[in-house]
Amino acid sequence: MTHSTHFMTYAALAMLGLAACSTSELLNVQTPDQITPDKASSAVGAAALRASAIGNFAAFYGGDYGGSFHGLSITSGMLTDEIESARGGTEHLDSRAQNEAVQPLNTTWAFVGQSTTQTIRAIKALKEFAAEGTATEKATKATQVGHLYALQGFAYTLLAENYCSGIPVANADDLNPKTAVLTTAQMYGRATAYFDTAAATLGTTASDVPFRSVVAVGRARVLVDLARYDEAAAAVAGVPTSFVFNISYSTTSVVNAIYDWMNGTLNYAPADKEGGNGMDFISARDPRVTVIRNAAGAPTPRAGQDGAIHFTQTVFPTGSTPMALATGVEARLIEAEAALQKNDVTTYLAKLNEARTALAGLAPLTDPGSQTARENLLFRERAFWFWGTAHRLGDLRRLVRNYKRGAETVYPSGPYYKGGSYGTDLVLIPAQAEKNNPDFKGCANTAA
Amino acid sequence: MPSTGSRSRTVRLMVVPLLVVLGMVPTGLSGQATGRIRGRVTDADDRSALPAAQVSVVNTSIGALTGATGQYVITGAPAGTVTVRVRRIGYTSITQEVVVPAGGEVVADIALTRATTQLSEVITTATGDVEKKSFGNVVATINADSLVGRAPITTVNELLQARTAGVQVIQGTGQTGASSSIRIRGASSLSLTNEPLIIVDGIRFDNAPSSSNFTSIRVNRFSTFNPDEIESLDIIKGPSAAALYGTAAANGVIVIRTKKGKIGAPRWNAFAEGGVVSQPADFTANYQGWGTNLNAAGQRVGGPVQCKVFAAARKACELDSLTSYNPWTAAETNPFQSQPRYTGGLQVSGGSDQLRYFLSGEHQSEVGPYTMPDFEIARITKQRGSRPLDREINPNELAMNAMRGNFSVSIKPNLTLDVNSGYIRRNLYTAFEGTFFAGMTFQYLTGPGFKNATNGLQREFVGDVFGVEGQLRDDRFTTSSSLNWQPFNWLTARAVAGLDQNNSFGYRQQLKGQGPRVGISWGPISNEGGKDYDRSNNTRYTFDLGATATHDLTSQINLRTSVGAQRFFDAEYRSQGRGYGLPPGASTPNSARQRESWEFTTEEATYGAFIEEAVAWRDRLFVSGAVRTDQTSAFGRNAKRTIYPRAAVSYVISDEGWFPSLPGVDRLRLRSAYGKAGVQPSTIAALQFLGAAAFPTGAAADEPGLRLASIGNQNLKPEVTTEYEGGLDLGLLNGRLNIEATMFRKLSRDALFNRPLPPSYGTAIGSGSPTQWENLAAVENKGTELTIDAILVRRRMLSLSVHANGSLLKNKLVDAGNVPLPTAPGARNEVGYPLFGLWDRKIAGFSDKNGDGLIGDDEIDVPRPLTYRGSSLPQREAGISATVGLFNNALQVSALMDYRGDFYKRWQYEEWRCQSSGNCVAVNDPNAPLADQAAATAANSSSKRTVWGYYVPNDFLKFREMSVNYTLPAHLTSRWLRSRTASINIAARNLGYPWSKYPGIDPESNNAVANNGGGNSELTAQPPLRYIISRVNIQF
Repeated sequence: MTHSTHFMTYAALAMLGLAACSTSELLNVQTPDQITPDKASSAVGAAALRASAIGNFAAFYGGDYGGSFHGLSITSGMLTDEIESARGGTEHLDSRAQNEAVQPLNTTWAFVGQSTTQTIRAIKALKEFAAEGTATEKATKATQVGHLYALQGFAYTLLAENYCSGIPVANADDLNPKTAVLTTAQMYGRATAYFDTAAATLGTTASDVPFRSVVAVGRARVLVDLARYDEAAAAVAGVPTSFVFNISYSTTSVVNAIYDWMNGTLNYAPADKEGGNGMDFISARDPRVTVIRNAAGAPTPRAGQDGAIHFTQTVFPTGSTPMALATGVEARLIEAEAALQKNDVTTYLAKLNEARTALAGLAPLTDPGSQTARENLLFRERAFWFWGTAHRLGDLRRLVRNYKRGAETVYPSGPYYKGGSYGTDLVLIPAQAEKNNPDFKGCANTAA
Repeated sequence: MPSTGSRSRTVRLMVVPLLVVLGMVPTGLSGQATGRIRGRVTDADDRSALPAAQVSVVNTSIGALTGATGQYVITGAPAGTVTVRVRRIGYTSITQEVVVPAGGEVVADIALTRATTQLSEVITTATGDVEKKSFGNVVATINADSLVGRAPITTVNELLQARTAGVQVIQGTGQTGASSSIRIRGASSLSLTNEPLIIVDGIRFDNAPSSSNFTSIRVNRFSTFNPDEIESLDIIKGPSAAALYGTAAANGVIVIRTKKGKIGAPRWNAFAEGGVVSQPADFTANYQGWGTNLNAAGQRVGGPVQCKVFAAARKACELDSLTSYNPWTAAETNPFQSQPRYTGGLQVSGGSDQLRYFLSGEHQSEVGPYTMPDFEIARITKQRGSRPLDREINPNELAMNAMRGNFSVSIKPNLTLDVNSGYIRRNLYTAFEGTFFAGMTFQYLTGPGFKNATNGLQREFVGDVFGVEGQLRDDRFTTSSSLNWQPFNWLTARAVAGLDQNNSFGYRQQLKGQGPRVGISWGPISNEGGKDYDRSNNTRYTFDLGATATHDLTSQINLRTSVGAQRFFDAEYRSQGRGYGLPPGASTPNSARQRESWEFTTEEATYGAFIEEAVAWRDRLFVSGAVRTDQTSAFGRNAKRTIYPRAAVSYVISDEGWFPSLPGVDRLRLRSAYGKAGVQPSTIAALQFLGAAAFPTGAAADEPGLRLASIGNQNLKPEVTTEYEGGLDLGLLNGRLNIEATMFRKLSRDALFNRPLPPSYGTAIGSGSPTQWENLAAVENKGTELTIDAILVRRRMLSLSVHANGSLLKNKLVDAGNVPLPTAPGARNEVGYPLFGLWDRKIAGFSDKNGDGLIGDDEIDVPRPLTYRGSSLPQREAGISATVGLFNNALQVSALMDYRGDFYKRWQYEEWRCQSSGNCVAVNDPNAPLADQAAATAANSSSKRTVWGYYVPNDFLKFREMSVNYTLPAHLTSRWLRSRTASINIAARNLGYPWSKYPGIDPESNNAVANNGGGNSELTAQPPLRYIISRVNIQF
């Protein structure tokens, strides 16, 4: 055989070989700009996924990226009497007639999905890759995983308290994402399960102690929502009044949304007696909800309810001011509510006043005299203690659901100060983009 | 050593498995008396030798390729009378009967004439060179070699403009160096490129937008190709023809052959070109209405104020005067000046039996028609104490140096190595433009309508605008090596390897103290100085192996089998940086106040293989079937190989004996083809990846985090376009009239769409809904194409020929996979309508109800639903060129007209002035036509807002080219210039619009030109430039 025939043979074989070659060799390319999941399959990768999960929860709870997005603290507060829409465009939410297609509903709902799924990804990665070669590493891993389970418990608690019944929650299977449509009761069930898992995961080191208190407050919060007051009080009995567990914010990444939207851009403002039923958050001059009136200048302030320039809050004086997620104050208020349910007025008052010791300048309360007045006082205390922390909508719903108050007696109602009247919405609804989900046909129940 | 015969048998045994599916065992001639045929193939015009011509004995499998001297020898030819057929690209194939003596030799010298009738041309396809009549598709061929020296061609895209049915060249902005876009048979993709695949000398040539581009204008890499180096272009229009090019060819293929050497003494071709480039458009003035505010009682209050027509209509003010100012033409601010263009080049070709060569070198320089007015030069000189830099005075300039060396080496009589290499350095500077508010056009179009502190510009001096320098420098090297081997008469094989590499450096900079003064115009604050830069290396590798075997199954049936396998690897490596706050004298970011940098890597790999079987019956009926399969790295992991089939029939029915003799009819061919081709998704579309960001976690500082940024799609596959094409070619009047008529329908399935996913999936970052690239949509293009070539007069002293082409095109989105499509007004996609059609609320009517001569908000009727206005791409196009030859064609006069019709443009220039800057005539002049007022009032309405009034018909007829070419008498050139031939040419491009429906400045101003996406809008785009060029060509 000559060289030429060799060549032809090799060429033919090469062609056949090319066609039959394994794709992995012929299609091998580098994509260093993209961090594929396999590149994060390590202890440091798991740590980065954990940081993102914590950050995404912070965004969902009360955060903002660069002045364009809304965490739940803003959105939830807008539907209640906590916050008003100063700038045009978000009156739909403020007046309880939500437009699911626009801000802030769409960004808050986006954060819901990102937080709940990212936490699952991070837990999975920590379990698989976090170092556990030493006792310290094992303990750290347990603390970190328990922390994330606790955050996930709170995420479901917040969803149950703020959103309608029948919302989709994803499985975080990124190759085949699916959602389960959960009723409010199912969301509470999942929240409890996550808190239980957190408790079972957390260790016994000093680092675990605060997270155990977080879990206790979270469990109790669910139990109160479910009107299981005694169990709730028992759950938080060991949480000290001075306990505070904060969600962190940063001026350079996830910014405190209340500060950003109220102080940074003057788009929203604390409300005062909104819709008649609202709390006197401004006029009460309560040290727990501190406000100042905006000055003229840039950015341009808007006219407030009284026609003068809007107030703004100083509860969160900077973009990096943390936002409390679980506190000893809440533990005492849960105990107070449980006592009230048993007509134990003494304990009720004692717990309220024990909570008030957490902040200087708050005088002790006295018994208002009637059960309804006591309930009102309890919820007023909660409103001021938890202003801007996504508690108020859950409380208004409890007033309707557990205390049988009429919705129009607790939600802002009547004429809307920018014109028209308040609508009838009682709960938040998912964004319009969720209609791309074949599993979701809309809220199953929008009652309180 | 085995004998030739035994070697042949051995090789057949080796090759048979390769071709077994087709029963391609060559016919033997054993036992039959044979002889030898030898001869020389030459060009009938100049008697030059023609290498690489295919010479074959009809009804046998024997033949030969001509060598470098045009010589060939065929051994083993059957004794007796046989027919020899000779084919070569660009020439009419010919047959000639010869009598072969048994055991003897016959000489058959054959002269080929350049192809005049289209069916006999040879075209280049994925399987090699074939006669056009055997190819079941219409393929347009542009003989660039003869066109470039005579027509005003400055870029390769201009070779395509208005010359081929179904091919649309969409103009880029009117700055020197800007690129246009090419659409063949419409746009098929919602998201991916709609540009054709470019093949140069057998390898893929990158036509992506330049990634290092900071010039504010669009620059495609195809624009670096030097048209003077091109011999011809074949335009393979659709998937039915381009199936074997596979995943990249759905938008058609442009196959370019560069010039090659011919055997003989060196033949020199020198040319020099000088010309003028100008901006021919007449820009309109800016306006400002003045008046007095009215109170609720209709009484005048306060002093003079700016008053708009729609405000006057609602009695908010009363108009009493109108001012206008045109900064485009005012002496202090006129940015235009005709500028020079020069080109000079030298080419030489020649060679011997062993080596043929073509060498060329060319320099081109062009200054764009923008210059700093003298007033501004004086102002800046006074301000700085020194004259502005030359680059500020002439901000738009192009310099290009091109070199090419093409070599063909005959290693053996049946083994040739072709090495084709080209290098281009392009250096482009542009004026600060684009969508920047401080850019040139924005500053002029938003001027206040009177002479303000910046002389009628919005807020900047034009001299300061020109202080921002944009540069793009490309160094491009393209080379291909092709080994062509013919071990036997019946078998040819090729191995091609090549690369197309482009190194780019681009930047935008303004030195400290230069540039716009107000705010952040593009990066740096005020004129603190700053620089953005990008360095990129783009390389496309092509590896191609192929073989073609021919076999005469019977005396009437010939088979042609081709196989091939290819691998392509595309890579882009970029580094990018910026620095703002430059110290005096600094021109790099190294010492800037703020510095940042990035790095990007993109790689794509594709491999595939094809097989084609073509059957010819009596050299008149040709049937072919083929299939290609491809796999690329951009597909999802689960995506299977993509299969691209092709089938075609071509029937020269007029060659049948039973075909009736129709008066005037010389030839009739019927053809039909079916095929599929694809476009691959972007490199990372299928990839699941994480995004990095810092997060507050309670630690002292933000911690680095990772979160899912893209869910990817493991099932992602290419968009696949299926095309059916049918048509006929008709030759009439002894070749003086040739007609090609074609109908096609192509359907792009699995068109990629960025489908919105539910936010609950949590697969996106921030507020946006997560998305996922999916193969969802379907797009249909169907149309009719007609090409007519006519020689109306053919006399020695006078000739007149006309080439006309035209097409009708209907494009629509057929299916969007039940995904909710964006519903915003503007250019968008809607099932049942053309891609990127224009939509908004319709102005159903208007009337001056109160008779005040003004159209107010309450006097326009704007129903709420969005209404389709029209296609943004032409649905009708035509080109007609005519050439008059005088004095034996020594003097030739040619003209080319270009028509586009049935499409709309968003007249955004006027929309912006009437809506945002409020300085158009319709919102300031109470005497403006009511229709114009209605359009402006609707654009400014809060409750009835629509830009419907600025969706305007874009139909036009353009006087595209005109040229006069004079070939000097041979006796003069030989005596005075000592040259063989010499010609002088004067040509002009973009001469004007004899007719247009477009009410704006120029129907071809379009800022929406892009490889992908679409739309047709005018805002910051300058109208196309006009060229008047003279050229001298001398051949030695």
